[in-house]
Amino acid sequence: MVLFGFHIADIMVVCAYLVGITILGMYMAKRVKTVGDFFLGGRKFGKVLTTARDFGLGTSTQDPVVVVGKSYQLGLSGVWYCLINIFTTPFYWLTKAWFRRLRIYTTGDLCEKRFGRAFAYSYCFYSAIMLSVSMGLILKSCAMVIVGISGGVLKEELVVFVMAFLFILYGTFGGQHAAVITDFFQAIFIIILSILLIPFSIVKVGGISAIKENVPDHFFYLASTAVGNEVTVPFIIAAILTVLITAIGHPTQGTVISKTEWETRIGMVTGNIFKRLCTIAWAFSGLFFLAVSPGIENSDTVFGIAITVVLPAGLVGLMAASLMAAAMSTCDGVMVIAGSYIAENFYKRIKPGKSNRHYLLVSRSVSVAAACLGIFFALAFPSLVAAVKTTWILPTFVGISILVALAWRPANRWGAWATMAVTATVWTICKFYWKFSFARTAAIYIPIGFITMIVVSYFTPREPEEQLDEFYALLHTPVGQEDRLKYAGVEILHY
Amino acid sequence: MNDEQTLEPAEKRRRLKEIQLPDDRKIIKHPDFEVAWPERVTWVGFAVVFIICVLIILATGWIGKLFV
Repeated sequence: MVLFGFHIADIMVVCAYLVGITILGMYMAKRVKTVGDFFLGGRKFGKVLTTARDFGLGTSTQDPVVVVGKSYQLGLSGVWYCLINIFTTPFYWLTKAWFRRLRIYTTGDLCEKRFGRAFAYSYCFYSAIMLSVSMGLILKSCAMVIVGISGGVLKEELVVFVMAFLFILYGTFGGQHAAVITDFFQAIFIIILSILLIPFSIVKVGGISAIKENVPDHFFYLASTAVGNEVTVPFIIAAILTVLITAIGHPTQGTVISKTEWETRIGMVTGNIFKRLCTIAWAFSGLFFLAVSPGIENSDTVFGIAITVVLPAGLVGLMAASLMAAAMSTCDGVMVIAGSYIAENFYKRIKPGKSNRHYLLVSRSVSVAAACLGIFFALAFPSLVAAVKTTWILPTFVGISILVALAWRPANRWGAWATMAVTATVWTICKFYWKFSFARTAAIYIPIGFITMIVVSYFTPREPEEQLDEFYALLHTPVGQEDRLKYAGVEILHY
Repeated sequence: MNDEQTLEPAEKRRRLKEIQLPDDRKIIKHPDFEVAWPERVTWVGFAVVFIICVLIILATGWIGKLFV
């Protein structure tokens, strides 16, 4: 029996997933008593849940769609479209611990402590809008694959609204608690998504030997075909530098939810390694499906077609549920972080002294508004969103200023503003006017950014010494030694 | 969460200086620089994660070659 383009067994699997995950998320609402509980889960999470959260937050539906499609088209080297970020994984071991030590809610707090309130407000509003729009786009891309699986019977808007309604529902009540606990189960679904196509493709084509016969040998080399020429040593160095400053300046990076630095490091790195292993599974899924069904022109459609061709009824539903899990696990966390940029970093500053209940209500309302705004823009104004997408790299320019400020006391707000303006201008010229490659663009704008930050900061007034002393005291005091900070009267935003 | 002590400005400055990074832990021993020598857990962890990443890449290439 077929309903909405799916077998009834598939519909039951999808419904069971959606209802189960929503009830679980809603159940976590009882743990939310304060704003800190809502945005950070009270920083009570250990290694396993932090791993699940970082894995879920960092893995969305586009990733398997791109890697499966590119590996199908180019061979195993298509894995580099996502695996290139593996070189930055060790750096998370360093950067995440810095954020945990600062004991902040968001990167906006870091900007305020180091570069003043005006710079922080600009960063916060820009980050909130970007995170909102990214939520809409993640949901939209997931919906496109599910509509493809249903054979076009389901409407894209309907799929988006169902997913959005459910993650907004449990995210609003359960906040970060709900996001993290649902991420744990959604992570299991993402792993299923990553490996499910492999055994069924092998069986469908008639075994490993049939794959060897049907796929050209050069498709199994990691560094071959068109993408192999693109992934050169300068490209890898540029990618490491770019992702390193992104890891510092990206709006999601400053929100750390783990108990200690150790849990923060283990969670981020393990979550990332899980993602890399899943990436490899996606690449082999694409390669094996090439043996099953060659000749698909559009690489973006390969993943959706593979699901319908290779998997039996019931497992198609499991795959659809896993795709939804990948999208929703990213969106729930992003929604809470987007809300914290406005509620915690802006509203609390302009309306201080209100009750905890008041701030909690505002936090929930702002998080819902952020999610709704993004979905509305992604569905109603796709061309506008496409234009805004080109500026997504802007918050990462802040990473240059933050990196310098973490190490060098004279770094100041004038340097940060100038760096933002200069790197944005240079990047725009290199990318759109000169049309330079990624590596060449990075080789120009990153050094110019560092030079600008150092030169402008050197010739302009320093930030107040007491403010700097407090900032570096936080940075150099390990988590668990807060008594030292209290002794010196240092403000701690959240333990 | 803000239960830090209220201190006289001069006393606060003194105590802040007291808990700053000591010179023997600094890589560049200059008052403007705040880069500490990494703790053991930092550099050992970084090295281990780096090796794991390299092994993942090598293993991927090796599995690919099994099909050739």
